[in-house]
Amino acid sequence: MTEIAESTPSAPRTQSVTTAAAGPGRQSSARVFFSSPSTIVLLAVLFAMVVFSFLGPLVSQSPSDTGFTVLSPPNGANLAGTDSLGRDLLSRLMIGGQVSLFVGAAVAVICLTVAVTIGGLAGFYGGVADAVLSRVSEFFQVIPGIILALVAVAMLGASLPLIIVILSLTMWPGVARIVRAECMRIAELGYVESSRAAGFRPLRILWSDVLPNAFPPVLVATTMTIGRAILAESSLAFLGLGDANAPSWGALLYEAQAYMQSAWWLTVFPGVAIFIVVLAANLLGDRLNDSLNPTLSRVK
Amino acid sequence: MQLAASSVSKTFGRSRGGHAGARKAVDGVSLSVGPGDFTAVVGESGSGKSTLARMLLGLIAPDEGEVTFDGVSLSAMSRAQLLRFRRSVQCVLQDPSAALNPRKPVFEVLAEVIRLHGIARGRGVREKVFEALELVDLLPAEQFADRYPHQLSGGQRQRVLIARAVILNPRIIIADEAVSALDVSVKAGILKLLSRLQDEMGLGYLFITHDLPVVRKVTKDVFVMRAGRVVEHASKDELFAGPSTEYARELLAAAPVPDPLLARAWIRGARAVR
Amino acid sequence: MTDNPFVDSGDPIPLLQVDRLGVRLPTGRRSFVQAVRSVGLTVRAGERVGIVGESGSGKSVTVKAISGLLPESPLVGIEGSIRLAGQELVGAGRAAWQDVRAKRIGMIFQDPSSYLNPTMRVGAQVRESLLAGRGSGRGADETYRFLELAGLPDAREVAERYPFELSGGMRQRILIAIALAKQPELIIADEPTTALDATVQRQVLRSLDESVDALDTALLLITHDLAVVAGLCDRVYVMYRGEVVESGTTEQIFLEPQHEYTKELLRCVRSLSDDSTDLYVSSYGAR
Repeated sequence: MTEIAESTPSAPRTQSVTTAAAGPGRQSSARVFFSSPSTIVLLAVLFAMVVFSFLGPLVSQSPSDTGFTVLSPPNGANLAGTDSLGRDLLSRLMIGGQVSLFVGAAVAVICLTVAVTIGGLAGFYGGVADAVLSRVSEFFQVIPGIILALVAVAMLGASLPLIIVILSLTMWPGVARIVRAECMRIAELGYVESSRAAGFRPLRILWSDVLPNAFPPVLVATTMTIGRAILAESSLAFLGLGDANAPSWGALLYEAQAYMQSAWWLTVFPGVAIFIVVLAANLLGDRLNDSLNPTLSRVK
Repeated sequence: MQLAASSVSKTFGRSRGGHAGARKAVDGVSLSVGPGDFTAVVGESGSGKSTLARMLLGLIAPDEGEVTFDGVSLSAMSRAQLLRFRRSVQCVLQDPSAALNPRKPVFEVLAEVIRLHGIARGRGVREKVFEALELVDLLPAEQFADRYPHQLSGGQRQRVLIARAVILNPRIIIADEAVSALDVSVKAGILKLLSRLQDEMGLGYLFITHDLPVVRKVTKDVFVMRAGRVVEHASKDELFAGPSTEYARELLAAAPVPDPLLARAWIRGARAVR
Repeated sequence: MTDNPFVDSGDPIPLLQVDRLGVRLPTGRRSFVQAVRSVGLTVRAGERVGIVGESGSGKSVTVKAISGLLPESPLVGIEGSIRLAGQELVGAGRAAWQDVRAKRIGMIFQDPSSYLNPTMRVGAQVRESLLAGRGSGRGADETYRFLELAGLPDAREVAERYPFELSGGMRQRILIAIALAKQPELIIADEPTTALDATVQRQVLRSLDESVDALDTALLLITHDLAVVAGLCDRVYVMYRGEVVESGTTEQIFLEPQHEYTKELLRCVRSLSDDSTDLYVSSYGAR
């Protein structure tokens, strides 16, 4: 006996205690999220990195000043040492941080926008729109990122905007898939149907009913994207494909290649910086997932 | 102001290679309902009653036949006509737990519908919302307006859905299993509310349910559906006095009675396996 | 709170004895709700007992506590005593609970779809239960016997099917068969027919009735449906807001209810099914 589009009699009988305790007894996701000490630590770490990168240069040496002793290990004047041109590594780390963090954020924002649009339309409308948009998404997903980067840089020269575009192009399908799945699920729910019956236009329903409820997993995916974008950009820069005028942490690693054995600080500091930010971003995404997912954080 | 289905049919699964897997959910059904009616569509799962409801609401297009409102076919309506149709024919769908957007407070749920149909503007919206909440006995209205669905009980959620349906002063309301998921002590309250609203506003109801005692209690006219077809159509009294089809008899016999002796006999008298 | 008139010193130890059971569940990081409050109940060997209540009554939580299925979180607080044939289960370790669930208590839940493995043939699932249970039978014949007992006549044929090939009523009977195959001392059925169509409900209830009879198992039936309880149970506990408000034999509860809530509940139910009376709206239902 199949039950397509049929109302299952009395199906929602399973008891949920939170319904029984009707009233403002349930904590909002935000409170749960912020109430965990480890989350506060993670947020603090990321915030510290941002402050370090963007406000640090106000108090540190000039990153392009080559006046220091070449390749000197961390000392009083140069807390992170100097590089092969005699530049202070710490201030270069700050500038590098600006680039890396900016790339991470920019890619995440672009991915989110594109993914929500395409994934939302595909998941909500289904049918032909879904077929077409899914093919588009799959196309971009199978493009090998490194090759695309190599070709693009070779043809157009390495620049930060170009790198951001390339990374966004390869990363948005992953998020779009999640958006699509959520929208497909929500589109089946009662309140979407009720809105249709009330006379709202489909786009309006997508915007006002579907997307806000699709948000949690998408938010998590976006947080993860930040980490992945920073890592990807670092890899590209490490291979020499970075923008020479906007040296990121990855670019610092590129420069450090020749001195890996002799000047450990040139590799370690940028590497640790990348590691910390990516780890923090991923863990935060995890925490976000837990707090936004009602069945995990609160025992029912 | 009649809402009518004329020989409508709907087949699912047809696109998958011809007839294999195709299932006729609704097969040549005709019925009509207007203000003042209290018509029930009774059937079990798989009978097609929910699909029929959605066709009558214009949410699904019939493959054969047509659905008309006031003589105009839904498929031939302009955007403006459709909006007017939606205002006149409202619905209360099943499953209170997923029938409301978890992120919208009650106020917004009602207000957005008011704004869409231009019933009121600015200040007026607030007044209309409170009016509707009072109409369905959700008092004090100010308190309920700020609540989110998860802060309401099943019965309260159902009242919000009913408020949303009546706020536009419709002529007909289609209710799909509107009370099935509610506790017995709450059910009666909702049914009474529905009856009162009908008296006060001259509404017509199309009540879709599998719950026969409820049908007997409040409705006037009954359609019995099975496997996509209407197998019997009679007034409530006629049907319960003596159904003419075997299937309807079975359905009537399936309703249990809360009395120890009768209930025991009822269970033991059940037919062998299906 | 109930003082148990059914347990006196002359009786053998009851199969299930629950005393002053309290369950506290978290509803957030720092807020709790007392879902079950000082509940006591008794089930004797071979007896059929029903727990009746509406949403929020605590009946499902009580049953979960009895079968050890409450979430294993330190935030969940259980107090009181649950004794199965004298063995105390509150605070018992995982191993003890697993043994109980495998051999001594058979559970039948409301929604068969979530409790049947979709990729395993139903016969195999019944067999799994059989092997883990108390009985000595091991062969295919034993499996068929339980399928038939649960009301599925073409046992050999049905055993080869997958859950998705069966109708809702048949799936529920598979759940019954799985519970029976353990040859448990107690079968707990939590809203076993609520999700089924009315006609199928009746048949599944009959299957349950006959199979419990045949195996002489005790039955603890949880439902919101008074008619189901009236037809299947010898004794009834009525729960409201986490407490047992009344208990007695089925006849007593239906014909001579004492507690106001029980009376109201009966009035509501009867007003719905009885043609001559008007719809009765109780104050308990004004939520």
